[in-house]
Amino acid sequence: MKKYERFKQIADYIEGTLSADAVKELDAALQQDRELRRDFLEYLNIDAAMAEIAVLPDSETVGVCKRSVQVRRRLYLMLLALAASVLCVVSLLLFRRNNGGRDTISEVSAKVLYTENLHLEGHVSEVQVGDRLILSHVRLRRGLFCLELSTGVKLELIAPFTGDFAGPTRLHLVSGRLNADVGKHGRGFTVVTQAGEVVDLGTGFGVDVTENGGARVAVFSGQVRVKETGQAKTSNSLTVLDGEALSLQKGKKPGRLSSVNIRAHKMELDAAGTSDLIESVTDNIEDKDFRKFYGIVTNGMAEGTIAYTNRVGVAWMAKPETSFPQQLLGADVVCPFHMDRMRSDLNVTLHLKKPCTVYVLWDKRRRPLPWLRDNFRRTDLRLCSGSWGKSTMPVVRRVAPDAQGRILLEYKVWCKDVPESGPFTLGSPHSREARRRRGGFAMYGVVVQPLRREDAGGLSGKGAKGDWVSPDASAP
Amino acid sequence: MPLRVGENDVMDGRQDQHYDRFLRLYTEHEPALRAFVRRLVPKRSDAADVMQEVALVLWRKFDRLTREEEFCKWAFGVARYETLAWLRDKARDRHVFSEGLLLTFADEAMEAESYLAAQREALERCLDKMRDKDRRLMLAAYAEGTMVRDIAQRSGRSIVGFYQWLHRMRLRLLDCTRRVLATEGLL
Repeated sequence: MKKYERFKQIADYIEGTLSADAVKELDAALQQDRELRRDFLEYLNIDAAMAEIAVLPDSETVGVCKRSVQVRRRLYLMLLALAASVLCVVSLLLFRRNNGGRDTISEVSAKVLYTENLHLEGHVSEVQVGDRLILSHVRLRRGLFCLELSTGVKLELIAPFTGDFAGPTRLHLVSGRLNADVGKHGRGFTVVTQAGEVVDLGTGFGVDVTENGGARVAVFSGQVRVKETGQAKTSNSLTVLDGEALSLQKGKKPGRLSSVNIRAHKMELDAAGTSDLIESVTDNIEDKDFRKFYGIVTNGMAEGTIAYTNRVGVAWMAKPETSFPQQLLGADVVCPFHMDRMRSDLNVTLHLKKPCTVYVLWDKRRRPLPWLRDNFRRTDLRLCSGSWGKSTMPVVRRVAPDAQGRILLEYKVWCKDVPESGPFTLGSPHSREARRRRGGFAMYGVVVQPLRREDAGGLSGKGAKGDWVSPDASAP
Repeated sequence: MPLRVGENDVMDGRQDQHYDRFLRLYTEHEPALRAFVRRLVPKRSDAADVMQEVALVLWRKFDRLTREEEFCKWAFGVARYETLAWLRDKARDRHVFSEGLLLTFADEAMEAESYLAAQREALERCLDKMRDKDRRLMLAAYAEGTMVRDIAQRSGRSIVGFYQWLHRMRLRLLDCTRRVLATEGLL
């Protein structure tokens, strides 16, 4: 029997569908063949580990489970949505035919979900939460404007913003930024920019139109399809998955965006836009599968700030019974990928706009690697990340829950003053020498503060007046 | 403050510490024990049954353990004994492997435990490399209380087709973990 067929037998065995005779035959084969026994053990090991991972309270797993329970109700709703979509498409086609095939501004009904310091051009009276507005051309001079369209699509428009609706499923983004959460029934919602169209395939995403007419697209959940504006065919389109970001420029091939400015507590485009300190974050990995973005939280370091790009539920927090380190509050946070913790070939580069102090948050359970130990200063600061869900995850395997049942990891904080702008590279989270010590440590965190000029008689006590010094230079 | 654990049972501070110590050790080794049991019994649900018994026995006999460093070895011994006892009860079931093979498996699985633990960790990285859609589907299939029929339907496959897909994904993950461990010199 070929190896593949043996594996198929093993699969049937673990699904309980192998006949008694086949079990007997497999038993005999396993008794004779040590290599086959090894294959069997490893295959079942994968099966056992999958069952462990599947019970972790990751948002994506929970989402999938919820969806599976709702399958029947969804079918009914899908039929309704399908009927509505057919009506929409027919209306749109008729509409386009009457307009020479081009999108024309049209009015849509929208419910106001929330606003923040909003100045919406053309609306003299104050916009109130819960109001129903008829919108077509939308221009925001300042503030945030979150609205829900009749299709259930929720849009958060971030000023300065100019856009035109071409029906409830299509928005021309002329300038500015938006976050879209299309919900269950808004699939197909399209954001049109000069550089390309972003067609939603059931997701949450952000689009930012840059000054030169280009666009940046970041997908936070689900997936979108990106295609050339006005192109009906999807053959040249590109599917962008969650955690991936692209930059678009008319007439150019889309390029990977290595970092995206996100909010402190949610994976969405940040209203504050770019950081004053960090231009971008890149790495040296050219793996074609490695296309996700680093999150940058501008001025956002505080209790509850997202720690890792692909572990949204895990946040930075004060060590129990201590307060959050003052030196780190309000700093820019770089959210790396937690799964990189085992990489010994990774270098993360911060492209700094000005002199900064770079803090590296290093898992307390590990010895610092030479690049950290020899080039950074150790501080007395301590911080935790959490909560890490089920205690069976490899990274927290030896960690007992705290009094509140949370599983937290503690980090020591190291820092380095970088007196010049430009690229600053951090070493790998792992080393070949350390490989024998498996699991049990987290990916490092990165926090950036501006380097302060020391005031006369300042706190640091180090460096002559006018030198750049770190805010916590007094730490050992 | 004593912790009331039953109608008549009250844990004093010392017992409380004892229980915490057990919980910490058990939590640390539970994934390895569960995987060990899973490799010996035919179905995932069987592993859950056996693990309940294993946890109970470990707690009942935890007093006898003198050195914490020996918890792992001791717990594996208990898991091995309980699993084989459970399988003996099922001996009439012709869908269960022979006792000789199971004893061999138990020994070889314990020998290979450090490699298998590394493989479970490598699996995390391999899952991250999977297409998002496949990963979600796979996790959904393994989630507790999942009806495979629903998941298969959602993925647009028949139940048989879905099991085949699941098998292919497991093989892919197995290959991936082997590659990861090979690059780390563990294979």
